[in-house]
Amino acid sequence: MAHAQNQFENFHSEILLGYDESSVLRDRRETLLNDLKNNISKDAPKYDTFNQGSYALYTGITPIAGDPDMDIGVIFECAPEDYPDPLTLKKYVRDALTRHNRTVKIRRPCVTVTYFKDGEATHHIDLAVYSVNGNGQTQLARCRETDAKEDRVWEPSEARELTSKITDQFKDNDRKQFRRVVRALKRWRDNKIGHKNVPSIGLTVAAYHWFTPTYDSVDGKHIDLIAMRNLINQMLARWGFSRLTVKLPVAPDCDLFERMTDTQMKDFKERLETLRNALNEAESQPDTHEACKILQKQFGDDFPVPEKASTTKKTSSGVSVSGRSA
Amino acid sequence: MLQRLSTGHIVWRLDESCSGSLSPKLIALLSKWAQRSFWSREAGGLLLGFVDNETEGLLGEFATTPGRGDRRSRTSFYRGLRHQQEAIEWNRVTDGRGTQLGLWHTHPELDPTPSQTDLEDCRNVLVTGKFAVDGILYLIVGMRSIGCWFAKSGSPLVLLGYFTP
Ligand SMILES: [Zn+2]
Repeated sequence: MAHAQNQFENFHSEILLGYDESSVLRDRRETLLNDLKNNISKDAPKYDTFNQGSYALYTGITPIAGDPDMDIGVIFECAPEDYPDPLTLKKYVRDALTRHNRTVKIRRPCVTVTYFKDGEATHHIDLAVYSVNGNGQTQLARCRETDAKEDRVWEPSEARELTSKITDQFKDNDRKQFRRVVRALKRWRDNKIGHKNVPSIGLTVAAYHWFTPTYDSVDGKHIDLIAMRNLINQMLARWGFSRLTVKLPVAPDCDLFERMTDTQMKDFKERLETLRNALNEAESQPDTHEACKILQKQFGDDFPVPEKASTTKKTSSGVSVSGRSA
Repeated sequence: MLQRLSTGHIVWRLDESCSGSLSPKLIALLSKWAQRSFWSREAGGLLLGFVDNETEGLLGEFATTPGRGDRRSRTSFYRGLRHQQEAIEWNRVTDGRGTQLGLWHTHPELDPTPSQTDLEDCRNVLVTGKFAVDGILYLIVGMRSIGCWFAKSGSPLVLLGYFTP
């Protein structure tokens, strides 16, 4: 009964990407935030920044192709009433960051900085712009320049609360397993469905709701294969008539998969079933080398398939006598 | 206790600590010797493979086949000393990892069951032989299905199941 736990852990070290590990990410962030600090309009209120998204959650992975994207929260020390038109604050951010090697666009949920190399977009950094209301609840500036005035709104959005909720859901080694399983699932998504079609945050929050830490009852070692299989079964069991709803556990309490089309949902479900079946087959296979071949088909080439010579025991030929069968 | 995987492997499981697989290549090799016509003679040999580090599973991959030193008739097969020599050679070419996992032979019946002669041979091999784990795999290739048993010394054969190749 192969669990291929060593291979799951090696796969995880291969795909994981975080601020702690990546000086490139840290440098990019520093550079951008320095530009913001040095160039922002004198009229802008004071602000603070924080990491949000996968790097804050320690669920970031290296993209299969290209450079990793990043999310930063910019929280201004002001109330929504101070800026009835939230576009004003987003313009401050945009104007401070515009440079020759990048474009800065105001989109509805954030300000997106896109970096170019040889005329091709390589990666982007999204900055979400917030204020804080009288109750201490963060409000996201949702607007772009083409929006009519009444469509430029402040919307409750508790990004920092989301980060701490997800982080505090599991402790110690269980938390590590949660992060390994989320990262593996994200890489599977990149490999089988494509980065854009199923949002990472939806997968992460699905795991927040339905993941159960899983380990061997005898030696106490975590078993990622079974933990992931159980999580997928939970997701499949909650599929409604045609869709899976994954509720954000903080404001604005939206469904994180709401923008997926029915066709994307159907494809997502079928591929999840295939993944679940592959995990079951890998578990049934006592041959660790063969089990890893099954897993590599799902997770891609970064999932290692060890040579048979390293997964089998040194032994003797054994001895048997001659004899007669009938 | 037998399961066919989409990769063509047959995996079997006796209990928590005893399981194994038969590779598609091994299954194809064995089924070539099935006694399909009335003049076919019995065939047999040793099952060769590996023991998995993590799962302790017995990984069947290859087999010795009839040849020099064997005696074959329609209803019996004498396995000569050459099979043991081939097992030693298998261990050498696999860098000290390949080992013998058990016995196989054919029967001129659709879904085979072990004969009294088979049970005595199996018991004798277990008592006098030496194996990587406590017990051997025992396969009989019938005209329709292949029967799989596991034998531990001092205990009766346990049927793992039948599968069609
Ligand atoms: Zn027989």
